[in-house]
Amino acid sequence: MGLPWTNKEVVHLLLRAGFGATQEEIAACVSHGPEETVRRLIAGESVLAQPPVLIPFDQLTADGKKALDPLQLADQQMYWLYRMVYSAAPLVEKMTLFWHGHFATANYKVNDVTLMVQQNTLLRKYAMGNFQELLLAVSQDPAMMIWLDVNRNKKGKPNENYAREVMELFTLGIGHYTENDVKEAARAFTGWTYDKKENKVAFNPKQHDNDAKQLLGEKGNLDSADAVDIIVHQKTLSTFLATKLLKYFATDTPSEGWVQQIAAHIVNKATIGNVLQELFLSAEFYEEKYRMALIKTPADYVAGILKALQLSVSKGHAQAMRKMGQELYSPPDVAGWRGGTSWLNTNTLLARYQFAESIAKQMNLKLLTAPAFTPEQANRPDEWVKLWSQRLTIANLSDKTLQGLSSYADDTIVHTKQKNTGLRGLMQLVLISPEAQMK
Amino acid sequence: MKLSRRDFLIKGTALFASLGLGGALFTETGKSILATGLDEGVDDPVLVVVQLSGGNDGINTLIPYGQGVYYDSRPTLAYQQKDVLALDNHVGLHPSLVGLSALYKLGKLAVIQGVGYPEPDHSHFRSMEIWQTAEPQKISRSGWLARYVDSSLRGNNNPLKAVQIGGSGSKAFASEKVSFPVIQSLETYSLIDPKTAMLDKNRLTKAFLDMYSTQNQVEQLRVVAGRGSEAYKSVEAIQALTATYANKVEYPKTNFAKDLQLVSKLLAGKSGTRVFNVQIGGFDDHADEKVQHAKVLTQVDEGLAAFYKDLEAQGLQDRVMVMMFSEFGRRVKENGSGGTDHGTAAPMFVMGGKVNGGLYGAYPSLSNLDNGDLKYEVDFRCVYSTLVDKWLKGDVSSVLGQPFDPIKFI
Repeated sequence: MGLPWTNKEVVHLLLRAGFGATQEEIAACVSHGPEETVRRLIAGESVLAQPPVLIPFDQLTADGKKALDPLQLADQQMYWLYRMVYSAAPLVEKMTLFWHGHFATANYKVNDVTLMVQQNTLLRKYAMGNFQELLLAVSQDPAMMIWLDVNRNKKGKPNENYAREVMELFTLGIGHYTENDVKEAARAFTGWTYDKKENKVAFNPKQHDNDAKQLLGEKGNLDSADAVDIIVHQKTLSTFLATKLLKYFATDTPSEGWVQQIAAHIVNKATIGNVLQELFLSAEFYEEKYRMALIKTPADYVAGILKALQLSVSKGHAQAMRKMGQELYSPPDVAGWRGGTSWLNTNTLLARYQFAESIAKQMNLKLLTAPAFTPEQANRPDEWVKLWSQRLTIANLSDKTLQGLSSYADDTIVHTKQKNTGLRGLMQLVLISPEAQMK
Repeated sequence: MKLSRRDFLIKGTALFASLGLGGALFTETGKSILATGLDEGVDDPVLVVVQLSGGNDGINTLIPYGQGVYYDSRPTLAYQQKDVLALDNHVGLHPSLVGLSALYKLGKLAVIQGVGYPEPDHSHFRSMEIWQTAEPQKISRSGWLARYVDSSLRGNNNPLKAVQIGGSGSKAFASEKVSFPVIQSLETYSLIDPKTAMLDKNRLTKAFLDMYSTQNQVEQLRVVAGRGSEAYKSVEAIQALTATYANKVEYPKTNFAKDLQLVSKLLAGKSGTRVFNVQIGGFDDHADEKVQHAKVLTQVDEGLAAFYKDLEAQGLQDRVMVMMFSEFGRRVKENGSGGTDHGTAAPMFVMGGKVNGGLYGAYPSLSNLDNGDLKYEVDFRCVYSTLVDKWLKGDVSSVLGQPFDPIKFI
């Protein structure tokens, strides 16, 4: 493959296919080359020879002291954020988050943290697997059954909630099914039950509607597996998923040609992992116009900062994500997080700035004055800015930002005797720069 | 302390305006040195749009208790006549809507029945978008409130002229030209910790403005730079508000009530805001609806009742009008699990001191249905049109493309 492969490409890939990177990881990926780097990401193998080991939930402590409680939502949110920062398989976490936004199940209705985590484990298991298998598994996932009332859909007493959203939001999109398809699909999905006491999902034939149905042009005595099969084999599914994947990983405005290309992979490849492999090894993915062209999600922003600075994760960090508009296990509604510029409203932007400020304020001065954060030419303000933006995993600084920050560094670091405030200020400013909001 | 040249510039505030830095910094008192213009429009009419997200069941909100078919269709969900807060011999409000019912009796609440649009869409998101863009036939990129602001508040440079309250934006304010502030609380609405020393704050702000100036910024960063500088301007405007709000009315402890109280605080501080958008979710219920629906309607009712009382306490009730809608109503027939599935037409509510209270439109027939759905009687754009034209004195055609029949609630 003729992909250029320098720090820049690696940072681009790791910001998209993971949650940022450490200097060590970037160096490792540069030496692996593109094929091996992407292979490891897809396989869930660390890019490092000696990866840090993920501490299990019951051994991790919060904020330096207390053990985590598996039944507390805030503790589970923190633990998932910890995984995003420290997992050796960041792409698996990234895809788990993708499916969480796709299936968009929220604890405010499910009201059972254990079931939310159970679904999260399911999404992680299938994160890069086969879509049809994933969809079928999700249809019979207890949290989903509660979220979209699958459990309440019985013979002669249809509840259309799941039937509608499965076509509108999970597979086909508006305009590719009719109101009648919603009604027929609801009938096909009847009969599945979830017993909360036993935490058991079962099929009850007595509650299944056995009469003939017609869904998306196909007739028969359809059941839930048939319905999933019919839906998944609609031509528009691959386009729908391809668009969503490209918007998540590549650009808010993917070209029709690119969508069709990825859609073809979705049809031909067995797993989403295979599809992503093609994407991350394509020349188009690395084109200049797509670099730094996506807005970081709050997960990208928070996890990326924690990762770059190797900070321990605290509950407050997951809460900061909520203020930025992305609370884990709590997407806003059945359509999940909207993404794109919707991340950048005034309220959520200010939450990012305030988070950056709190990180800068708590930074250890030892670290800030360490050689890794001190440029060789310490009398040149632009060298300070370049080094720090590199440490904070920003691929490229615009001239404008460089000038603004250099001028700040000049006054507060280079030409001052008390530079500690300046160091913290520079960290805050690099983290709130427009570049730091983008990936 | 030795002052550098830049420090001198930053301290020498008089010079600052001439530097063309695109914004103001702060004086010793914490007030923005260039904060002006906020008094603009402080006596003008205000519209507060309230969105009930998730598809509010209109039939159990404005209950057609006079019709047998209502009871036949809703064996578990129907409310008995004695529980309904009757408005006339045919319809009445949900038992939870005590405050709204009292306002109706005082003539401060208009209820427009059977509101919808042609070829209704049952998707939450498409239908919401239709209401927010006022474009039932095509996908539009601009929101109806944004178009109003753009055409009718041209020349008004107040960054707070239109404000979204709460955590997330609304497509009603979508615009290719401007972004509108989204405010959740005044206390947290700051870019730099207010406790930061003045000189440090000015230096940080100066660097922020340098980075976020949209001029000459590379293409990829233009959107974020634009959003950041809009945020900066609105922060500055918020900090320039006069702190005159005295909490005379007790609000319930819900997010919705808190959001409405924020509207009231902004108006009291003379923010000059002309349009607010507020949202409350929790209406997407498909099973065991009776309890959940009553719970959210209670939040709506208590929040609006407290808000109206607060407006009265501040003497603002005649300047403010509240319009409330949901993306669609629900089916006439309840489903098999004590809930209702996505439907079509539903009532809208308009509240305010200057409203001609009463019932408008006509209740859709519960038996002459379209595939199980109500047929709408009033196009929602008639309500928008009335508000833009008769209340806000704005330009209807640029907002809606054409005028729609006015309704006499104003």
